[in-house]
Amino acid sequence: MKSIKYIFLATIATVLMAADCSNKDSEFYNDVFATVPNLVTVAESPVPEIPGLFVTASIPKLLTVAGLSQPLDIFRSTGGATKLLFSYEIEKEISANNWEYVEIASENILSVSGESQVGSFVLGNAVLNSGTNIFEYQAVIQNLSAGNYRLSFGYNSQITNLVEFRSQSTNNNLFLNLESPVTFLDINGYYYFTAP
Amino acid sequence: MLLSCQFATAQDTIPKSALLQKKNEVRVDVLATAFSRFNFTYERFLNKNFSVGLTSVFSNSKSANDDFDEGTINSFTKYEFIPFVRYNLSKSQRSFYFAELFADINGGDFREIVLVNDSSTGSSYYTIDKSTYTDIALGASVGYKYYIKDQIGIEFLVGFGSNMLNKDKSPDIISRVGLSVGYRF
Repeated sequence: MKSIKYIFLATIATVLMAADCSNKDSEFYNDVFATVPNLVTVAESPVPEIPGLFVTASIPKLLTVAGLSQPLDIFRSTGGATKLLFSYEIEKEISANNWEYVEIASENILSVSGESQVGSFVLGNAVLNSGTNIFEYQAVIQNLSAGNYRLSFGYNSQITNLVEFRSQSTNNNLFLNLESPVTFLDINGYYYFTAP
Repeated sequence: MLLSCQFATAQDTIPKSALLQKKNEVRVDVLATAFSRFNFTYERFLNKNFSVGLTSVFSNSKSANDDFDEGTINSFTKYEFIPFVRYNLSKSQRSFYFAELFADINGGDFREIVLVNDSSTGSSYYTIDKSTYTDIALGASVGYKYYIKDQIGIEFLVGFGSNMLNKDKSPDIISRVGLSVGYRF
């Protein structure tokens, strides 16, 4: 009887070890990812008399993605999401190499297309234009007090060379996480500009 | 106190206890019930060391359905039929540790994200594809059982199984954890 007991226990130990070794990592099952470069531009006003910083995002509904044989239909993939959200924040240099975050008020931003929610950071909404089939966002940062500024993307983000969009999906539809590497940021992820 | 301890030990080790005359037990997992799962077990005691049984589990809880729909989980086990063989690791029949081997025939819903190439529009899109699965797991558990008045059994059980046949869709691991109350007759 003792040998039966030992065989029983040895079998249990073997099964438990096998079960432990084959465990999968946790994942999220409602997110898809794509990477497309240069969907965002940042440029200072071409008219010196009307100073401002233009932040522009332009994302085709049918997006060419490396590795896919056909354009990716963002609208269909996300179950009809009409907005792609991203964020950015602005800091002002208060002394040499000493920066503090700027609280953005409504008078500091003019939304040309899309929407902007302001506060300690700006939440940009690139909104689908059904006429052009492009998710569009353009805002002008303006009326800042004179000084040196820098802009970075993300909120408390450590990523320095790309802009991250996420679809505003509802009803358990898929979320598209779109990463767009850009070249206008410095190695630390900042775009520097001056308000006169 | 010494006398009472000796009395308790003597009671636990009586070889021909009333429990041995009762060969059958039914029980319900109260822990599973708290999580909206129905878990019912029948166990047949073959002798003082071995027993066999069958557990049925059915689950359709709102929270699990929500997790599945929201994509927190990609498979949702809705039913299980679990035949098992148990070995009593203690001498007592009234309170004892046990170990078991089990098979778990399980099935439920599965979801995955697929990329569809739509030739009619010349574009691709991601979508959620839902299907069902069935699999068989083999596993083992250990537990502890205690009887009140040789009739009401309280059992704690913990174990794991590994699905064998359909791992692309079924969960890799099946857990078998429970706190049950049973009636032995």
